[in-house]
Amino acid sequence: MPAATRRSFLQQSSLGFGWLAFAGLFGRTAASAIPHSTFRTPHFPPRAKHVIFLFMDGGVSHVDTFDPKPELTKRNGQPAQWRADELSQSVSANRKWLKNQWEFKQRGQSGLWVSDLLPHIAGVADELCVVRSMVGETPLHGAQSLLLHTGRSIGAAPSLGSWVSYGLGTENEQLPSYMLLNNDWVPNGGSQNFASSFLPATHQATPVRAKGRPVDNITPADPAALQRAKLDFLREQDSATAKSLGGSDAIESAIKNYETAARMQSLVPSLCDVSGESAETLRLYGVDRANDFDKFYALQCLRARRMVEAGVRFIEVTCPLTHNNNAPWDQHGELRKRHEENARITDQPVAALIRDLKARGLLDETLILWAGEMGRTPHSSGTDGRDHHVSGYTIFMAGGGVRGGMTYGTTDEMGMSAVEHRVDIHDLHATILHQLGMDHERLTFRFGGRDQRLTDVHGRVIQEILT
Amino acid sequence: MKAAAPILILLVFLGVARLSAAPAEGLSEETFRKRTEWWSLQPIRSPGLPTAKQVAWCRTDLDRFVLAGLEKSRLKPAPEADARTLARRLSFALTGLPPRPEDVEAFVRASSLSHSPAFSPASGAGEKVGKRESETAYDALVDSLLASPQFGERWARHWMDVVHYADTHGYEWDAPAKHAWRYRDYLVRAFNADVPFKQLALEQLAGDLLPLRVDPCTGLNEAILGPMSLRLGERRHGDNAAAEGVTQEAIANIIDTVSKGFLGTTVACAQCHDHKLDAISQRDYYALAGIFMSTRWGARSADAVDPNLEVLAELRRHKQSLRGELAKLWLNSREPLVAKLAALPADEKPSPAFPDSLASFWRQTLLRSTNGVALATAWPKLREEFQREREKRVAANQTNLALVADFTRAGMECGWRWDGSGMKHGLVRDGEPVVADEGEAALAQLLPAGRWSHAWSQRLAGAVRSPLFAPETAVTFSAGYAAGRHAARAFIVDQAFHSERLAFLNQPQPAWLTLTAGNFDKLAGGNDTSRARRVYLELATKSLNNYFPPRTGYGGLKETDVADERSWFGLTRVYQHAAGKPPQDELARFAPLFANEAAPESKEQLAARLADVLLAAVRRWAEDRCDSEDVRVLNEALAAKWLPNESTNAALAPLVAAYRATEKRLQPDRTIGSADDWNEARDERLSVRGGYTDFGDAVPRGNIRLLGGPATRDVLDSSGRLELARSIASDTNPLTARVFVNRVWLHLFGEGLVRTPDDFGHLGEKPVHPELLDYLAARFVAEGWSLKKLVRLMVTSATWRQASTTSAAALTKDAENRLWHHFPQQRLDAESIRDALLAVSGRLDPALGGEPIDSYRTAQDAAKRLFSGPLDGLGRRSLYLKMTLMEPPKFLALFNQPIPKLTTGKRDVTNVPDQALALLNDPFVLAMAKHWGDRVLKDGATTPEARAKAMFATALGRPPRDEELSRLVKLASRSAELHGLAPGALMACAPVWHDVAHALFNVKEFIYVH
Repeated sequence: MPAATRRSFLQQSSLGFGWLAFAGLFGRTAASAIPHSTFRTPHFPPRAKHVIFLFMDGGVSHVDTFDPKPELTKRNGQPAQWRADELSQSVSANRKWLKNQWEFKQRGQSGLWVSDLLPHIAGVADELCVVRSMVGETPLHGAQSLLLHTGRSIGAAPSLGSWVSYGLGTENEQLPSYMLLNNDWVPNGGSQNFASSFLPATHQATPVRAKGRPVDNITPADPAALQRAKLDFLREQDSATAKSLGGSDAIESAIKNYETAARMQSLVPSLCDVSGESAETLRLYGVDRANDFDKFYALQCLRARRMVEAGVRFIEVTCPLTHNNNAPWDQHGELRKRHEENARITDQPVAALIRDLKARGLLDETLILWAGEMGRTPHSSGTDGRDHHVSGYTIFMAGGGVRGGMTYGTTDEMGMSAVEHRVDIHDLHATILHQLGMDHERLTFRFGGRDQRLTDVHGRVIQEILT
Repeated sequence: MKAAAPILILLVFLGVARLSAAPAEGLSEETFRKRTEWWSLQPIRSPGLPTAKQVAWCRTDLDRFVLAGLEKSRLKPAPEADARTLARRLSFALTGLPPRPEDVEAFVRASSLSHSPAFSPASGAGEKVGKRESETAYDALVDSLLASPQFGERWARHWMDVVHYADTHGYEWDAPAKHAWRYRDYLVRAFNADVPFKQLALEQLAGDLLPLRVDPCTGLNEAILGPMSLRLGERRHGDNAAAEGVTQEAIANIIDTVSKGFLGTTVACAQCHDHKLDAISQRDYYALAGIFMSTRWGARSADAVDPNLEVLAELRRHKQSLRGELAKLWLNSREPLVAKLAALPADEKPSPAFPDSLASFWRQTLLRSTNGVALATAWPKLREEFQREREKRVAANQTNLALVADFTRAGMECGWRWDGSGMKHGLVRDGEPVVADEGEAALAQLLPAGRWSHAWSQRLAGAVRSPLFAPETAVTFSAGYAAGRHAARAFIVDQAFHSERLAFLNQPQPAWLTLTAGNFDKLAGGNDTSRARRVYLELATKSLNNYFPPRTGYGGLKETDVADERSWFGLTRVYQHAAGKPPQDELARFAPLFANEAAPESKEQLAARLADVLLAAVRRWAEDRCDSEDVRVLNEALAAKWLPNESTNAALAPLVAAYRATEKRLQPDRTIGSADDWNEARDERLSVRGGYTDFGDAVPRGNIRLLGGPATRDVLDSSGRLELARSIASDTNPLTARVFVNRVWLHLFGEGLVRTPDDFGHLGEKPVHPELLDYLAARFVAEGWSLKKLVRLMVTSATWRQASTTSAAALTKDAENRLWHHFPQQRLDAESIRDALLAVSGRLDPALGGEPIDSYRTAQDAAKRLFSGPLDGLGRRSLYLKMTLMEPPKFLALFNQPIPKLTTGKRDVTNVPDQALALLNDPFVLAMAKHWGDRVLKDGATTPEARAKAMFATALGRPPRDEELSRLVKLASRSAELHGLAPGALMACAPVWHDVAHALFNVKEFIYVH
């Protein structure tokens, strides 16, 4: 099958490349209408089938959560100095070291360090693979957010979730393979963060709202009988048209879409509806909490688990913005108040998600990524705020074939620079794709005169953290 | 801050040796020569017409090429499509809108008047054959569609994909692309006027450097609107000194857009290394980068014809009268003036510095003379002090100051430049009054000599920009200025697109603005150590400020300030001086107080003396011979309300009212983000592997080598952008015409002759019909780069007029229709779907142009100015919806409108359930169904059949067949039943017809053309 035909077929098909690849991968019957197509086989056996990306938008302070720095405490209030290659944002000249604001303790059997800011996550410490040596490119939200999501700090590149969808497709033909549990929040860098860019548009994220109608246009505008009448009319009318044109793949495929769409109208809301979950589960996640922010974040985490069960490949959960600010975790001021607020909203549901997946035997096949686009400066221009910092910060992963209860990489004694096992975003992406059975150097798409990759010309799989 | 090293390691590791050859050297002669043998780089030849058998089928010469190809494969073309199909196809192709049913039927009638066999001269040898009636009808339809204003909208939108048009710049705050919509309207006007594409290409690359092209209707200089094409897309705020790479990223995007858009060539990937296959080297990238890095990206005034001359003349008359009345009032107010001065109390503490105002002089003098009792002893000391201080300051100024630019006299700006009609009409002498545009004061102030944007109105624009400051040395200078209402200044570093160095100026009375150019802090901490920054200063009112409005809340900015079009500033003189040695007040205005040797003997005498000094200034002002010291004194008197200045004063009120009313008639400057070339160019250093720290040698800026390389520049230190534009917009450039002609073919035929419209290089696809492409390109050039002629040629061809049905034989031999054995069925593009919903429902507002309309959103984000607009976009066509880059209009995105960051020559066409869900359930679609359903209740139809028939024809451009009509009527009955209606009540029941309208919107045929 010539490339162009194949591409145009894939663009027109409602399921896209990923679905074909999936069909090849798991031995299901592929669309029999496509003769001669060569299915992409996985590059190697996958460790994980799903990714849940918990985006800590704005940048969590690493020295207040997972990277304890006694020296920072010792030098609290002293003038801070740093090298020109340490990429933090200095908003004023007079900066002082600022000690960690929450007490660190060793947790679980592994003795992993987690601060009191995140008590619930501390409770699942033995599942966490904490990477303390993340390095970004630019201490600015837009650049880092796009870098984390798309592997490029500017320009139009597909989202990580789109690449995963393109590479693997969905296990469930009725559902999108990349879902975004969001609440109409547009992060820095814009909707590009979740877009398929030059990959076929089928691979862009489908946003799911926390509050109100979960997905746009998912609620039938008509009562069932009336919609049925319209759908019947359309099927007859369109089939006749297709016939009069001597058969039309596009129109026949569009006819099928209407049937799929009709089913999605009930399937997607039921997927998002957690009323059938046990009271215990609802409590575990904190769906029963009174505050709207708390409740809705818990709801989204619970939905993430349900989506894993339903076969969605890539699920991203964003944080709510509770106050007038650039991004939820972006605390140049009010560090204590707002980090605690964000922790209150996210800590319990995230821990619950990990526990719940584990209890259901799904954690092994689900890779969890908890990451902001940056860390925060160990120094401050005041006493209750930290600024942008990317030359050494922390993220964690769990499940999906990464080792639990470990830390990887170190920063210097002040938490400024990654000094051992530096990991950049491309390494992180390469590792995620690797766990899904894909070689980041071979997952390509031709565009703009190049075979494009998520990792561009970079990326190293962090073998040391894999089981 | 790109990590360059790992790339090298990786490539070495993989055994890739490409980069080990010194990248700065470019391609070897042999490689270059070999690569330039590629088909698309050969000169366009005008090929002879191929021979074919069934030439009677051909309607145009282009058909000969297609027919020859088909016959070679033993294929036949499809029969001609029927008239209704053609009418609908033509309407969408040329205007992006569905045809009106009555126009379709008129065309069908006209087409069927003759039944003579299809024949038209195929050779084009000049043989005249009388056209059939149907030909005339078809040609007439084509011509009327080409002439309709919607043609320009349709083809502007196509080109907007190439330049990735957006109204904002995305990133974190979705900053506005300064009045980009004026560029969008420029495209619409240009395509409607059939401006040669060569001219459009020139203008979009270098319109700021071309002679004016004045649009007679708007009085706009069209040419200067063109360079907005270079500025569209995602742009970061900040500059290179803040985060290295900001400008380079933008430049890479420009190079990508220009090279793909005009040349079908991918140059941007050569930022880091020589092209792997094409004749493009890394040096080519930096040659282009040198051009665009040597270009300023300011906002420019686009008014070619001054629209305000008459209003200004009127304002001048009002102001003169007002000045006369004020002078009379002021000269007659000596008594109250003396009383007011005498009432001022003494200071409590002595001031170490000599007083700088009449009031403080009075207060200090009272303090030092025991409230005027000891004036006789205090006065001589004061005089001595004054003289000493004055001499000292005059001497200091003489020593310290070097005049850099003088805005008090035309032509003495010494390399600084002003823009905007406020500045154009704002060169004033000392004492020019500014009439307050609102409030209780008649005059806002008097101006010292200089150039002031608000001499007539705060709604006229102004900008002043400095030359580049010399690199390496920090320069301190002071500019005499005053400013208000969010006029701002910014140092522009390395041609930043968005400065976060913006500082709003709020200085009502003239003062010195002392600045130092240099020592720019790096965001990363420490001082910026780059020695080669390009830095200039810009002061601008809102509409000429490229960076206004900045992010919400920046500098205390409120959204009401953004909406208020008033803004003002002016400059007098600029002096350079050593740091800490700014210009000093020479105190000349106090000299007349001491002119009389005798000391004033009492407080009253002192007050009288001050009043007389003031009144002498008034007298000089009345005679228009005052100086800047008089202005200072008089401004103090006005601010202190020592002189009558109430807008309610009986003598002043009618004049002030007349001035204010007239002022409202001024048309503010029509500005746009454009380009500017100051002949201050520098070549870019090649950066090794695209990093920002490891540089090679400087590459002479100019065109890419395969198009001739750097040209001899008309002006030695100009950017070279004009020369680049000329070599792209050239009859002999092998790529430009081919690439454009292919784009037009793609938009009309669904696929290009080259199916990778943005890549004519080795990684693109080769054309199956290279001769046809050349024939079209040659003819396009020969016919003056006329889009309309080209479109007419294509749509009148037999090839285009084929039916979209095909035979099994054809599909077996050529499944991809590369030989064009039928017209490929196409799904409508996103805009056409939305526009068709508007048009069919009767909601379409056909107005052309104007500011963009916010798209409908389920949630707003005021901090990013992502506001929600009306559900139906006020019925305006989709190209007028605001393209907010951070979150483009969702309905359009669903149907594959691309995110406008990169050139998209060919859109994806997906076919996904989300689209079905939107057409079934989206509130906009439902609103249009309701609008249409409500309208048809008044159509006068008496039977469901009649109404359903008319609706069907409106939606699909053809009457329903019997079974289709009965199917639709059945749906209406079923709907009536479900709404609980008796069958007889159906005609007056709106919900039934909403349902019928809704169903018709969901018929696949509605979103496809055949």
